Amino acid sequence: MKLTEQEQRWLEDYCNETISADEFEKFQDAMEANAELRRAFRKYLSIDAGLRQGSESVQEIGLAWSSPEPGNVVALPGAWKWVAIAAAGVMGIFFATRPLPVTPVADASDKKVEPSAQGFGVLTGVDGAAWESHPELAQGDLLPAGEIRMTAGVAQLELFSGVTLVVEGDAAFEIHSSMEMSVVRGKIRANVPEPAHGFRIRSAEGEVVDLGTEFAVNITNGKSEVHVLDGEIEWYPNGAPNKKLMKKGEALRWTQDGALETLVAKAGSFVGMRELNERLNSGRSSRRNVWLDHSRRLARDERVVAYYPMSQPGQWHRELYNEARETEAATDGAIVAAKRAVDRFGHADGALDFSGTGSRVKVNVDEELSSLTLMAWVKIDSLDRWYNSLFLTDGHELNEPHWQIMDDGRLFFSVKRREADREKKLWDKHIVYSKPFWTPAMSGKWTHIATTYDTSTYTVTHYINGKQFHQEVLPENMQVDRVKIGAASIGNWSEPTRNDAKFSVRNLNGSMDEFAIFSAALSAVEIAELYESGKP
Amino acid sequence: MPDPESQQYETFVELFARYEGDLRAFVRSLLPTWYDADEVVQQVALVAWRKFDQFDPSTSFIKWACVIARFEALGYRRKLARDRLVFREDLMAKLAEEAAEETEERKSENAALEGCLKKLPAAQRELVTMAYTPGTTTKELANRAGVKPGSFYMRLNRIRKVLLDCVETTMAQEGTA
Repeated sequence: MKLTEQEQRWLEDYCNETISADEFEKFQDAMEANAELRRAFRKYLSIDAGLRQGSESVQEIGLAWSSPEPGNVVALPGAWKWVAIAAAGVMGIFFATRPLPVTPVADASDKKVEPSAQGFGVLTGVDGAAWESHPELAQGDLLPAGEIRMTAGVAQLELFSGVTLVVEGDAAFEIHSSMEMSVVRGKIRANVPEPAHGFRIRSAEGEVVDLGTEFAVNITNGKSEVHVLDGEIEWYPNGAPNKKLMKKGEALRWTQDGALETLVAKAGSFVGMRELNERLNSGRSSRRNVWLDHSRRLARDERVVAYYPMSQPGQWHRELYNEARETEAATDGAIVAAKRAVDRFGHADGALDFSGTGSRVKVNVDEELSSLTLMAWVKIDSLDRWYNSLFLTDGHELNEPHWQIMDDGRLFFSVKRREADREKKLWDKHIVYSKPFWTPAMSGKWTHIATTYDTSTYTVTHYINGKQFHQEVLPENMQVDRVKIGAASIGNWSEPTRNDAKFSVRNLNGSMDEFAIFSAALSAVEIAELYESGKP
Repeated sequence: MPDPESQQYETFVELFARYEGDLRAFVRSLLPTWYDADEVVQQVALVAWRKFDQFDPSTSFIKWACVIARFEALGYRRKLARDRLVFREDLMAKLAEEAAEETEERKSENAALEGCLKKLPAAQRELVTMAYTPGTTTKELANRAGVKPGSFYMRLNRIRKVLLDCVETTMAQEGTA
């Protein structure tokens, strides 16, 4: 069977124990569906097993010979171990032949693991980049391990050391650490600030070490170049005994056969950070214009009950206008504690940041809805509360919806059906959870979230970034025909009946720049369109 | 449990020794790391010896041992911390079931691999030997070898790929593939 690159990478990463939790899920799904992949997987691991066994015998035959007590050798490999046991003829020994586990497996229930993410940097800017190796790679993502192949476009990478790279496709490269990368082909311009001096780029022909502050390489099959745009670098050609110090304005070209040529450095041949930034800004503002057009149409959609785009003029206002034009069902919002923040198009004051405790926008929606769609653009910084609010009605009365995110990244939607009876274990509602959609690696990225509730089929559907993510039909005893909202909060939960000052911390730790309520369950196509016309 | 002093014990040791590698590979294909696989194989050795009375010598030892290993692996899986990347139970069962049918194929692959390993250049051979030193992590090894883990893995991936291709070519030539 011919494996796809993705499948091959899964096998390798699983085998190396470097596969991420996300990829592991996808890998499992693919394996379940594909018997040929399972077969290839077993074959691959059997090669790994063979390698391991071979290696053990080489090393440990040596060990066994050199040990003074042959019957007592620790960790004798494979068959050799058994020879020792047979000679001893005592059961006790063969269980002592493997070292005891150093760390016992902890009980899952008492294990609190610090959240972690993987990568040496972040993809901070993308202009028309097409990723052959990682088709889903998007701005704001952590840089994946392994070879990254980009067929076209320009991308900006910021490594945790402080190095900024501008890469032009067609390029193939790998980030080995925040201080080292290797390049198979492509144009790369590196800006290296003082804390990151010593950053190196390796290629098949040699290695460039930066001594500060800006240089560029252009690696191709036939010939390659390095240009020093500012500061100094050291060039270590493979196989040559001496390094070469190069200063600002110098450039070097070498060919496969080893011929060297000195040139003058040309900054103009490489896209720089500034140029890319200008391109990105114009791209963003043209996408913002697309969204503005769409936003105006949305305001006039008769199914829109409440519509709060948060980029409204007058940042000192503590009111958030409801821009829905066709109904008067919802009030303007009252902004409480939430601060103005940068929106998804990079505009200052176009979003609201709910991270301060107590932050919310209070609204009132005075219309019973037969079906419902809730839609928001959010940037989640972290999910550090049990419940992370998107939109919740005050308290929790009959027929009222609650929409929030659990601390493990699952989306939560419910409509209250009846009063709970805890003694009889009768619940008040059926909660429709998605599987987790959010991980710490998505921190700070703008995400489009939508949930629809269709009362004709009692179906709840969750959408993430325009794609259906989870769908479930409410059980018969939990179906609700009409949804009520009334007093409610965006980004938090209010408990109106309580007089004491203590309250649950449920505010969203992040920002929102658009929120809408529809009196209908939008179709998958419409949700996808909302996402496409609004994505930054 | 059979008598450790008996002729049966020698038979068991002989059989287990012959198939231990295959068994280890089988368990490794179900569990996330070699450490886990070693733990389980050790347990399988104990259980298999206890039940050796029930083994019918006219049938396949490796298939019999794989059935035990499958149950031990499933049991071990349940004890693993929840954040470990371990296969879902139904997938694990499926993998185990199918693997038990492939023991002959594995055997000819192993034979081919031996030949392929000999063709491996010395430097790669050394890397492989280093990579599989028991009790060390690839990260430590990468540090020792003076390369970043990423490129260490990449080299290992390449070597495995080369060997896999070699094994497949060898088997095709011998008409067993």
